[in-house]
Amino acid sequence: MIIAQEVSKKYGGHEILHQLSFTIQKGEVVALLGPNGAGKSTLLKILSSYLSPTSGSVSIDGLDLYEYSLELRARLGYLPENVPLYPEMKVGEYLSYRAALKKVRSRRISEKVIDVLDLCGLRSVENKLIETLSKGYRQRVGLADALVNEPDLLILDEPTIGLDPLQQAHIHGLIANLAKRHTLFISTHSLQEAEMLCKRHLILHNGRIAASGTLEELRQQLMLPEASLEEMFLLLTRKDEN
Amino acid sequence: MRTFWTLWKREIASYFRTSLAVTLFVFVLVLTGCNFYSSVSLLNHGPTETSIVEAFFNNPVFWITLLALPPLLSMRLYSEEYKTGTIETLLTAPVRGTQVLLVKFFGAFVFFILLWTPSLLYFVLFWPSAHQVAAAGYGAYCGAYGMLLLQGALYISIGCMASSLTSHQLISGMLTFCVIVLFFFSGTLLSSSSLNTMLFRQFLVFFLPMETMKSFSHGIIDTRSIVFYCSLIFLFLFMTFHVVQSRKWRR
Repeated sequence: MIIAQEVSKKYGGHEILHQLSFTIQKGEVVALLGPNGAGKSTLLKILSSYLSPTSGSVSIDGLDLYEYSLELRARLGYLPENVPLYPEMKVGEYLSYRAALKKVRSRRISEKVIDVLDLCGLRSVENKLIETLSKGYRQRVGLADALVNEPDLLILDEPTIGLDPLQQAHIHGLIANLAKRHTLFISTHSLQEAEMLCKRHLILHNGRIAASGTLEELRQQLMLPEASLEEMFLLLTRKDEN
Repeated sequence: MRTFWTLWKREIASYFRTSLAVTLFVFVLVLTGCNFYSSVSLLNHGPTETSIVEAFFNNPVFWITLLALPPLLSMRLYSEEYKTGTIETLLTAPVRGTQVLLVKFFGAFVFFILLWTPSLLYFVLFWPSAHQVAAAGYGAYCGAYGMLLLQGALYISIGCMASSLTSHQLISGMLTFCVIVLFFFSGTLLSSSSLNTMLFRQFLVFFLPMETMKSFSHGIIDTRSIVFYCSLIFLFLFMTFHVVQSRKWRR
């Protein structure tokens, strides 16, 4: 579904991403792991076509992301890291606006909005202003926004950051539910979350892919048959520091 | 077109969701009211060749209102989206950069028109109450309001450009105001320079804000001024588009 070939991003003399090549198959749930500054958010911004890579190419469903940007953006659900929303809008109104923007047919907008309100547990706050919502609810609104156009591919940048354990559990439940019907690419700092929700892991370090594969494949690559994801992650990301 | 309409409704509504709309309406009504009063007061000094329309559109209070409004209207256009991060969700939706730009520009411009619309009432009410017209013909009304809209659109396009450069609304507003004021006084600066030839003075007359307004409010409509202002509006919008697009190549 996603094929990235030698994607690089340079800015201000720094190489943020260095020739990343990877593939994500339809229906897969992949975790993007890496320490701060590894280039996770930059990679997700490139995949959502917010940023352009300095070199390399990305294709989604066989279509080049830059040539068919508008078409692919209509099929994509993206939740940025800080969940940017318009605070002066009401939840239902915001989701209707986003659905219209994402080319959902006019007569299906209210139906789709109700669906995502139910799915994300937002029915009770439908008529509330976004600025009055807690962080957990805002995160859900962001997720509902990403889902409102029934995207094939969902890109979530740190979907549980800053949430309390109860809110995290709710989002985990939601993501597990979404994983049955969507291709998911999730960036996270939580290794437990990655292990629990994702089948495959892509570990970035200093803008390069340090390792990629399922838990078993990672153990084989590193020749550590008993290692946990955390141990492998620390081993891969501390390598350059020593 | 549907995308444009969706974006436009949100853009226009965003002015009315805050106290900005009320504040600006009060600001404009008070200043234009004072301006109209002072323009009509001219009649107290005996017969005059200057019409009420000419006096209204060439009064210092009018210029203060016109120069102060665009920075206030445009300072949030892109800056706020950058600051809150909503530019990311906006530009990752299936919308074109040109649609976003035109919506922002026309949103601010339509609000600018709404703010000036009540001033039309002053002239409409003047005739039955004073039993005389505020201008000799419709050309003066059309010219004065046409030039008001052209200058407003130009200053808003400058504001668009300034707000695309920074995430700080205040900096964006101040930058817009400085560029507008510089443009406004450029005639004074240029006419005192060594370039002050006859040909140059003729050129200045059709682009200087005060000079053009003087002739337009007199009913003399010069197409060169219209072309000049439209070209500048297009230039600033074109630059804004490229400033926003260039962010794709940053981090």
